Amino acid sequence: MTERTSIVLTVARKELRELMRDGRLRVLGALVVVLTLAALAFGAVQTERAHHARAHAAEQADTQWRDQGEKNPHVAAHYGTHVFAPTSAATAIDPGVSAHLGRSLRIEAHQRNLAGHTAAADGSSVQRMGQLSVAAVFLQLVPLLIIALGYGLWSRERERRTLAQALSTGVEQRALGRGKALALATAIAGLLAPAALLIVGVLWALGGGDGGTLVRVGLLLAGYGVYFAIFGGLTLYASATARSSRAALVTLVGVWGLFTLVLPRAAGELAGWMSPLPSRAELARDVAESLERGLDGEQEREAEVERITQELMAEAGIADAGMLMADEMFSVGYELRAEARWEDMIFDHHVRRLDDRIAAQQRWIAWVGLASPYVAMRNLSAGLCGTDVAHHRHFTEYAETWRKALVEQLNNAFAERAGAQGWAYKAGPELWDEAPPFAYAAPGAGFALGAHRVSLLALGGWLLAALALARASARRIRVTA
Amino acid sequence: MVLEARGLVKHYGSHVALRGLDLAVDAGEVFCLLGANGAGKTTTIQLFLGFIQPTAGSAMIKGSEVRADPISARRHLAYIPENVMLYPTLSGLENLEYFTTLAGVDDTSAERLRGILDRAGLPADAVERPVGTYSKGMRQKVGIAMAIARRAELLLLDEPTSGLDPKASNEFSQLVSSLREEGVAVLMATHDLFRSREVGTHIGIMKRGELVARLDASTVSHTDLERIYLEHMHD
Repeated sequence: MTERTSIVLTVARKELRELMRDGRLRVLGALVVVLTLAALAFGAVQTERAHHARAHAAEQADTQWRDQGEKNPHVAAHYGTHVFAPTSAATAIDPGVSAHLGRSLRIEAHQRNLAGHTAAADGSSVQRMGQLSVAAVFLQLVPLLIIALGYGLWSRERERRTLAQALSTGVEQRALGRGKALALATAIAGLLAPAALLIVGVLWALGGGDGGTLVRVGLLLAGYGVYFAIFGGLTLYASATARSSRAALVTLVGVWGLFTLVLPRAAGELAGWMSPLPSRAELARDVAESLERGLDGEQEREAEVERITQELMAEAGIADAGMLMADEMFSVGYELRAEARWEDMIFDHHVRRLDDRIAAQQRWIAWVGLASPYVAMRNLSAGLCGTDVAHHRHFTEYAETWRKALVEQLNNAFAERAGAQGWAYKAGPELWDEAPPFAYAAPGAGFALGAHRVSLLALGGWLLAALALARASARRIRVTA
Repeated sequence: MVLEARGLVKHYGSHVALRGLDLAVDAGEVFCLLGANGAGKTTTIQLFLGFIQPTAGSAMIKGSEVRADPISARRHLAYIPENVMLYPTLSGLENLEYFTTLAGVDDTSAERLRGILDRAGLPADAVERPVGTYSKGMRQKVGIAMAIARRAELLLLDEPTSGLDPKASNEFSQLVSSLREEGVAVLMATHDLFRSREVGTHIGIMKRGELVARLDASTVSHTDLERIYLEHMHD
């Protein structure tokens, strides 16, 4: 071991001794650990309940679909069903915006479920403070713990004049700084490492022991490590440069408030202002108007449906469409398919426009992460836990594709099998069993990272800046403020 | 020379704290700086510690400019201020171990450090007690123990006996004298004429940043020292 390493370890050991003996570490640490464990237990119970409820509801929906009895395929399409997003075990850590957007969708003909397309889903930090989750504790309380443990690491030494005593030994200021940083990191890691192990264990117990979840959790813990290091660096910088310990504490708590309370709120406001969303009533009105008059307001629904019907018949190789059209009952299946296509085109347009606006809001919120590591980590945390807007959109897009396939299949069956029976035609369980399987699989960790590139960039930038500030302030520290 | 000041000048804005100070202290010498508050004594000590930079001139330790490499300069010295500041929740032994490790001392075994604290006069039952329970005199003894443990070649003392009771002050002086006999060079800023006459080999009287008198401690009596000092103070 080199002399410098030995000095760094000595400084770290001394700082930890002081932290232990003055009681701060024990009291504050115990508080944060208890809250983390309580949040984890709460999250685990909620996730387990949601998982069971989802499994039960999915089973019921499947049974209802299969046991719906004999009916016309298009009536079955109206009867519809429900689909459910899988409950990720990681929800126990960070529920993200899933509570606001829901995890189930109603599937039926002529209707695209718009329940998940609500206003800016950033969820203010004040709202989140009320939610007890591991993520809330990590995002908001652990930085306060870091500040409480670290604000006096330099400033108190200067006030007590132990800094002059230490520097008079010829020790390098850089080594003192590294020792203090190591002590702070060890204190936080010592408190949270058992919690991290417990988190992995609980996720395993909740069925999250698959490779994908473990990769996500590994990335999540690494992300939080970076997040805590940012606050550690800023705390050391403030402690080294503030005129007094009190000034350092006040400054750091102010910065914490700015990062976790003010900027997230401002981000939501900015996103809503830059990319406003229509209200539910406005959206419903716009969709209804488009359904009747087309996207440009110049088309007629009936004429367009008839045009699409003829196209579908031509595609099906029915050469003499006019003859078939004479048998109104025989052609109704094709009309229903044409109606569905017309409605899908309208819904797709409006939903895409809405999704684009929501995505724009998310981008604005992500850019605010450049000014607040809290915002950046909050986005990344929800992303890696699969509870952010991007994952919700991934699910709803799959569900919509499945809805179209199901309705198309039912309308096809009507068109191809009803014949002269028309609306009197009834299908049975054999058709319901032919429904395409709803086999939604959540995307991998790469999807989450890709959706939060700006947040990753922000966290990386903040980490470099915080470490550079801590390092520079350690080199320049003076025995008097 | 272990310590040398050449034309040392220090300005704080428009205030001139030192006006071209020249002095030298060799091994086995104790140079006592006497003077009123604001005379420039502490500024001189701080310049040799490298905590502040001179406006002009040079502060040298073992032939090297302090400003050029303060860390190397500090490796030769031990510093005992008016109040030796220690970590209150750590014991005297733990404080000593910490500061000697920072100074790069090889042997920081508890056995050696206990022996040094004993030599410095710290009661055995205080060694493991938190320093927060120590008197000022006991803290000063830990400061002396640091100097002994480090085998420092130079002691910078800034009012080290201020506020100590006569017994503690006497014990402190004896320790400084024993270190001088071992060849340690000492620069001591003090208000205490009696103590400077007792432990010093050379005495300098400072006034408004200047060394206005230099005396050989072995040839000046207590009475003469007091008279000379007061004459300069009343000029």
